[in-house]
Amino acid sequence: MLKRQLGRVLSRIDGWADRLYGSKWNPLYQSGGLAVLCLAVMLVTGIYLILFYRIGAPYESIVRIDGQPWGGRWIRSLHRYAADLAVVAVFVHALRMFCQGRSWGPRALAWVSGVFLVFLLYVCGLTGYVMVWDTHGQLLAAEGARLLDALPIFSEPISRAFAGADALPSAFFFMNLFLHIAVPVGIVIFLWLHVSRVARPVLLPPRPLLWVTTGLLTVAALAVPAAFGPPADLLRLPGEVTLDIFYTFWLPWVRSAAPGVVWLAGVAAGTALLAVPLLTRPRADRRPAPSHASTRLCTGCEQCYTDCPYDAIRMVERTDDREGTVALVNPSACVSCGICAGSCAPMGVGPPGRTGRDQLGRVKDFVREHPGAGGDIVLVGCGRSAAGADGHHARFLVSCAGNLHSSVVEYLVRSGARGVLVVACPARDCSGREGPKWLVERLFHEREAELKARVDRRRVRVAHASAFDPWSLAAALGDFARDLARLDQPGADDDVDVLAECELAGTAASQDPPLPGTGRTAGS
Amino acid sequence: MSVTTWPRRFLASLLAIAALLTMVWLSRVHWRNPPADAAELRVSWRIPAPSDRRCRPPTDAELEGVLPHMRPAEICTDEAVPFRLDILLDGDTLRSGPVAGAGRRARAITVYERFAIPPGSHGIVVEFVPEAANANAPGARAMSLDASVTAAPGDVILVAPDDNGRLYVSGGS
Ligand code: HEM
Ligand code: SF4
Ligand code: SF4
Repeated sequence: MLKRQLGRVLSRIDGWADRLYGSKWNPLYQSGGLAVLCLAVMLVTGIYLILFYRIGAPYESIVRIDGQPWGGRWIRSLHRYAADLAVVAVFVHALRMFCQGRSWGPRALAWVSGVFLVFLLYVCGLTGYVMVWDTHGQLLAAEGARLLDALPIFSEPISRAFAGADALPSAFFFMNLFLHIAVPVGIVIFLWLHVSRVARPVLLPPRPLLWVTTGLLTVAALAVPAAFGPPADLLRLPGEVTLDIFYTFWLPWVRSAAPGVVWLAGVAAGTALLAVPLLTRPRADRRPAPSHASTRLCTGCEQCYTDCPYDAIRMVERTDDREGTVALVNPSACVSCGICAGSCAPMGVGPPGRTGRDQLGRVKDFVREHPGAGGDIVLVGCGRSAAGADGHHARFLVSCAGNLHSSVVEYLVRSGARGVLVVACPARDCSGREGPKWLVERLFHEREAELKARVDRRRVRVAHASAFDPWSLAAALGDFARDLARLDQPGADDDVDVLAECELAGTAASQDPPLPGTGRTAGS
Repeated sequence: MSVTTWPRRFLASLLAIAALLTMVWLSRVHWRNPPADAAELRVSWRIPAPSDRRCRPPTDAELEGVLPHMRPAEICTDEAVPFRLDILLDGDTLRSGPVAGAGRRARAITVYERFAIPPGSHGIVVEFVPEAANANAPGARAMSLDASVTAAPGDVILVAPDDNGRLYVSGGS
């Protein structure tokens, strides 16, 4: 229920952001990559900052760094703003995964390691703030000690170190610095674990978005240097504190709460997050079944093995009387995205009910049930995309654009459809990760199972439009209808320079393989 | 749909900059750490825990089966000396009760007490005395303080022992 409501809100925001930025550059779809980018910026800027940080005089060294207007000041600010953006990106990323139901089954490892990544990110951020040793850092350290003292770990209260009777030992700042530097190593290890179950993880956003984001962060760092408060003074209560909402939003509440309540809230939140894979797992009878490869039909071409976005398929030696290898699906790694079904020319693999053969059976019924659709554009596509929301055209829906077998498109064109508009989600928002990418490759770039050469490509087009982006769908339909009208004029075929058409598609493919704009490369 | 028109590009840039500025602003929110006009009294020290050693000759039963050269002349038990800590502010008791080191043979006794107090002038009395039963154990020294201080808002008044084991007050005026 919550998931559905949140998902609708998120999809609406996606729709508007697609309109403004274009689905290819929509930063909301790149949140995981943006988080990695921020971590990389933090790492590079951190290496510079560490050269000037002194555990013997922490605050003074920050003041000194801040006193270098062309070096330290903006590098420190960039470090800070990248850390803030990392939290925003991670939050958006996790929320998307939650709303899209990508949190259970084989994805549980990614989810759980993601929760640990958040924890590590916060440890890194909080130790970073203590390093500054202003009033904010003092309060964080004192509250941290107060919370630890409530646990039966230490025989003496560690809070006493902050009583003010003695100067803080530099061992404290050393420990803090050590954590701040060691935790990123943990982050790298967990990140590796996080993406270990996906094939070809996309770790960074596309170049232009990468540079624009880094540029914007740098401009912000130059224009508004990161703030810090007055120096810590253990014999004064920290009065005026500059909070960073992304990392220390909880401080005002924790300050006035009993340690037991804080621990309880923390443990409850952590447990709830870790339990999401169990809580969001559909009931056994509603769980999509994993893919299955038929040893009888499989020719051992390895295409599904190459295409599976979750490395869930292995090629194993045949045990029957035929030579060679056969595809074998690992059900515990398969998320049932159905993308392998679109890979297989002999239609021998796919989740039950969604193989190429199943789709062909369905499309025959579809053509029978929509006799009038022949003269119109038929929408084919992913139920999660704008095609799922369209009510005006005859539409043939599949579970993912990557699940679509090219023979379905061929069948529709040969049945007399004026045009087939295949509607996919924006490439980076595919819940099966690589559906739109493989779809375009199969329809226009000869990837197995390719759309046969005999099919008139001018009557096939791909559009990328999320569920709440009717504008992109309408624009793609309008363009397509116009081009088809031109095509349907008597003698139109004579005007078409087939070589130029192929070249156009080829150039567009080399510049931009996953997304042929709104489909123009394909059929215009 | 791609960003084709200038108004849309302009709007997209404006939104990105607004989001960035919001982020920058949220990373520097001023917060007056409440309570705004409070002061704090801290009482803090860590002393080696004096122990009360009691010895007695072994009983025959205890010596039975022990080789002659292994027989102890006496059997001793060490027990940490418990203290009593009373803290009074303007005659009102803030804390009163025993303090002991952790465990039966603790090596140190740690005191760390914090109290929110109103700013202004105050009389502070701190008494740290060994419990009567063990008062004469070696090292079981009492510490006490009776002082007047003035705390401004945000001040921390710290009561701690000096190198000679005498309590003193720092902070405030
Ligand atoms: C530092 C924090 C994080 C970073 C840098 C990060 C980055 C990434 C990246 C790069 C991917 C691969 C995306 C792809 O190629 O499709 C990914 C996948 C994933 N992330 Fe994160 N992530 C972080 C935190 C989280 C959190 C907090 C969660 C949820 C609690 C989460 C849940 C997932 C899931 C479930 C996937 C797998 C998606 C799939 O298999 O379809 N991540 N993450
Ligand atoms: S794509 Fe089909 S034929 Fe090729 S390996 Fe996979 S199951 Fe076998
Ligand atoms: S459905 Fe096919 S492509 Fe998708 S994860 Fe399972 S085996 Fe891989």
